[in-house]
Amino acid sequence: MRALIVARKSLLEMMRELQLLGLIVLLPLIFLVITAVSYSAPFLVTHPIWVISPDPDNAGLVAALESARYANGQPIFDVTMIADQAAAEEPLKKQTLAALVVIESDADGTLSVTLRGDALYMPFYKAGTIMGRVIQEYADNAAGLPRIVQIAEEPLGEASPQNWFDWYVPGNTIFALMLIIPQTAMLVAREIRWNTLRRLRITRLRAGDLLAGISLAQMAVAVLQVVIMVVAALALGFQSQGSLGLAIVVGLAICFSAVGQGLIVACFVENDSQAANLGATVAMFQVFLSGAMYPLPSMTLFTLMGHQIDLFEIFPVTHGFLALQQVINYGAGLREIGFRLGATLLLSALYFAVGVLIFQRRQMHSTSRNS
Amino acid sequence: MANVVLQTEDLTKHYGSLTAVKDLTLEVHEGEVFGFLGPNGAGKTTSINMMCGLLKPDAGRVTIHGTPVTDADDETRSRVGVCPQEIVLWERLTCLEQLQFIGQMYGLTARDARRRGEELLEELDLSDKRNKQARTLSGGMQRRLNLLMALVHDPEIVVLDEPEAGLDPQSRIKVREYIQSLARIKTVIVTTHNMDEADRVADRVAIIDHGELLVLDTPEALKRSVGEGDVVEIGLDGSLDGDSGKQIQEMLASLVSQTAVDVERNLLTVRALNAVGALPAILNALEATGLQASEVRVRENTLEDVFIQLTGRRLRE
Repeated sequence: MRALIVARKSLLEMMRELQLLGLIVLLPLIFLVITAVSYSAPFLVTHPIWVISPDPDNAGLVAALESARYANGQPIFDVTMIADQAAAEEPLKKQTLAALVVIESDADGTLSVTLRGDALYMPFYKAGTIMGRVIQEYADNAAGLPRIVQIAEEPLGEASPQNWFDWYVPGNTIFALMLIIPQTAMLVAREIRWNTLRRLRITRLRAGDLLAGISLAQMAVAVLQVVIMVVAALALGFQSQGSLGLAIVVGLAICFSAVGQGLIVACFVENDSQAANLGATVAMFQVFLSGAMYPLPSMTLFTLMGHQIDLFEIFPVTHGFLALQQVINYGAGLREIGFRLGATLLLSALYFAVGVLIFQRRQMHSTSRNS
Repeated sequence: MANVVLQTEDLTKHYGSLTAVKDLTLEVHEGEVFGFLGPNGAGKTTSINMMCGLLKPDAGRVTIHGTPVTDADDETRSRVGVCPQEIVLWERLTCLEQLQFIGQMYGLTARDARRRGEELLEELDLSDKRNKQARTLSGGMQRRLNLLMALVHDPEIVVLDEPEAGLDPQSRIKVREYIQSLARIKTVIVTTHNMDEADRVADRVAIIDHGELLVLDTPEALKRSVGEGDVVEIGLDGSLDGDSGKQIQEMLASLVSQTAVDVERNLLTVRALNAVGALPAILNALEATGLQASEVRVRENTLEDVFIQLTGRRLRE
């Protein structure tokens, strides 16, 4: 009961502090909008290419490029025939053009294809890779060689990210959830600095009630964050595949570890700004190492129950991210994420227990020093 | 014999090589206002922090109704309300929310805590601020609210650490009257470095310095212990040195049945039963030595005089 009273008090304080609300709600939303604007282009892109092919004998290759299709029938290339190579320089530099293709025939009839483009522009490589396959098929066909290999690209289907924004939504949600670390640290550091924790220590309040109250408040925040992030992402065009309810369950599991780490941070800082700085450092460190922001190379330590356990899976948030990604990107159910959710809960409980232990020892007992 | 509600036995606390409190043994009686008087850093706050269980003593123990504070159950803890020296409030909770919250933490129901909070706000003229967040209150109002936080659960023992510190005159009067209204209804322990405050509100005063209890008695008994009679303080034009000071002391010894004469910079202090009656003769004697009185004050003995006699220093030094 007292835990609920503490939770209510914490929520009241949070709601009345715009700075804190801004940190936990607005900051992840801003990141989400930036991600949506920057990465909403679909994975299957029709690459604009300009072609110079003065020899009419090579019309067949041009036609092959024009007719190349993805599995869903979408054209792979948007071909524009030009005559002046210099005209392509500007759009190539501006990256509005994926590549310039120059098709020539030598005196002995050998076909020569030159790809020109910006080496730092990823679509140039993608277009070049696919074009190589199309050209090889055309050449084999022209030489009368039988097609011995048939390559087809098939995405995982509708239950998969349709663009990079879809892929980044779980990572953005993880970022929002991990902000609970600096937020918890700030709130608890404030109780310590204002001496209100000392006031509470001489009441009937137990350490367990206080920490349960703080955790309940943060869990309410976690639910709010997951809902806000997913709803905002949907509004920005995110194509969610899974259950929002299951995503909230994963969010709550991650929240446990974040609260535990917030308590640990609060024990080692002297004021709000230190709590915010150290808490944010701890949070960002894990957000990046979990692979939520960009994929990290695998560093497998061992295999457990058929799952490769990587070095950075010592963090609950790594498992939480993978579970969340499976739920909202691939439509996974409870059974599919069972291992990851279990690992998240287990590690979160461990982090939380360590946080509670340190907090109790340092802050909730009769101290040996005056403060 | 008075009922003992709180007792300390050989209470000791060290901070490194510094002994903050040394072998403090005392009893606080039911219904009395117990004053802890001493200069800043004397060990008053450390003592009361140990009394309410916030600080672990290195030696000795504190009991409330015979129960050691360290083993105290919820019931025993709830017998004590502490008002710390610094303002300890949740900045973004309203006055009423603070009182209701802390009341609930002491085990009151939400309704009782709210009702009690409203009563207390009324008693210290904060009713119109009940829905204002603590951070929007003036310093004086925050201090008043700080005091109420110690009382919301209706404790038997109220510990007030420097309750008048930092108060504006208006709030000081309100708080002083309120503390006096608590007397007899509750047992009140007040720490202060202000001798007037201790003299005015306390039934018994413990004077503490460098962590040691120097003396414990009623203010009247303590003041009597310094000497009978009035104190005449005479400010002098021109400076005194050791020789002239000694000369004046010898001269005055033949004029008044004085109990003490102090020469302190340009201030001559005479304590005597008939000090006022002898004042013309004293002034004449001073004039004969070439000194002029610039200011003459007649007062009663104070607890400061007691402290000076015990330590050779003023409270503010």
